[in-house]
Amino acid sequence: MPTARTRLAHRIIPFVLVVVAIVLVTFSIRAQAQVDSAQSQASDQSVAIQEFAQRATQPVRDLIGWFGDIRTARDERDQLAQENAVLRSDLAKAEVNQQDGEELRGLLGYIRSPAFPQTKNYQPRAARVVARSPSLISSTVVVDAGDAVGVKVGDPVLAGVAQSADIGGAALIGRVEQTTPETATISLLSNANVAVGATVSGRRGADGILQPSAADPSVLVLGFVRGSSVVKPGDRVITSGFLDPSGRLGSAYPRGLPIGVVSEARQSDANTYKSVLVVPWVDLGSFANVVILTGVGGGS
Amino acid sequence: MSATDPTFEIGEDDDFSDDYDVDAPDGQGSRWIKTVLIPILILMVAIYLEIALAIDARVLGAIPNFALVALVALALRYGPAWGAVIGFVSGLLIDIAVQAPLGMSALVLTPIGWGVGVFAQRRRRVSLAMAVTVVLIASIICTAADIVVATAVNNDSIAWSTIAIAGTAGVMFTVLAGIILLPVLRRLMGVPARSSA
Repeated sequence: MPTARTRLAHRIIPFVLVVVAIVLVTFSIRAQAQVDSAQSQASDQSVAIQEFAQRATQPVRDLIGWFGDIRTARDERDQLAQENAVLRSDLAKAEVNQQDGEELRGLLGYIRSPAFPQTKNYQPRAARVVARSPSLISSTVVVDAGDAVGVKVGDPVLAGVAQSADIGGAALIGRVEQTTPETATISLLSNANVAVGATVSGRRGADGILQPSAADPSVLVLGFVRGSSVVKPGDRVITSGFLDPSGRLGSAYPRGLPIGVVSEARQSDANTYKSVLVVPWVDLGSFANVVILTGVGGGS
Repeated sequence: MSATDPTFEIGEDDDFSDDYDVDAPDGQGSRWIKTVLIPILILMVAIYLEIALAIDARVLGAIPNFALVALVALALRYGPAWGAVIGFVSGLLIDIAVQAPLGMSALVLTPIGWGVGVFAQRRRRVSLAMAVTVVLIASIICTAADIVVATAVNNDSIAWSTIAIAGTAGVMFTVLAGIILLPVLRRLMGVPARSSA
């Protein structure tokens, strides 16, 4: 039988742990740099293990992908009845490879296209997503390229856009928030802390600041657009890449990076500015490969 | 009781020192494996599975919360104190793995582990149906607490329609995982022997 002292200790332990958790969260936020460094070192070492876990769980993820296709497969069940389990498994694997291939082809096409920023010596660095928070509210991802290959804080990050060669094959998804030698944490455009200077392509004076919508982070809002400017649904939104005349202050993003397409432009009679709703080219919740544009200067 | 009865039964004194009423007589090595190694293994596998699936295997924006299922199974077996410790440790491991603010997940999982342990301690024996119900309630609380803590810590904006779909799907997937995994976990952990009667 446990003693009264043991029982008391067992009752105190949960409260102590909750207090420790609160202290850790507070410390983690206030001393973000130091804690992130320690966490990142641990994460560097865990990248290899995470990649191993990814490969080890590939059959499980393939199986989940297979379940996702069941609804479509029911309509064609008679035709597919002769397919055996091995072929279904091969099909699921092929679909995953095809999705990866489309993303990578888009990224490669973008790097080779005239749309790739030519004004400076930009170096494209390909990277793969190795961690995404399991939380429902996720606006950061971790990729397997860090400052050892030249990735810096502030570098723009793009992801491939399948079947959209007319925008060059890739579009902006965010910027590098922090780096370690082997990894980089990317803040996505859906992160409330990310703002991008953007403009509506081909519309004079339609410049503004792009931020996620408070109601739905999957939609972006181009704010502070002059009310007199003409903006229509279907117009393309790109980075404005502003630079002040002295050349000392400039956007972290080069001009012309594709972002998304205008879905709606709002302006009330009382407002001087328009609010332009923008749907990003890239689904910010489902990409596996990215390209980081190094050599931008970052940090702004 | 037999080791094959479909119930979770907590140890007499909420401690790892319990014996196990298994079919074959256990030596010290076997007891150590069941009381220490298997719980750690269960927790690590659950966390890695959850993180690996979170990368690109989301359905309706959600994945099963394997860590929560493992936590419920372990807390039902080992009681409130160890439930809180296991919740705290698994929370820290998740935060380190996904580079989230340290302590954010621990803040959610520690009270859940403790609460499930208290429930198990008061019930003494918990049937599988009741354990699945505990997973359902814990999953709802965990999802709500996750949103509250993430919003407070990260200051993120919330898309309620997206959260409602993903949250509901996540709870359903977690309950489904609980239905499948809880009997397996109970069998892996064994059943504590009753010290008298």
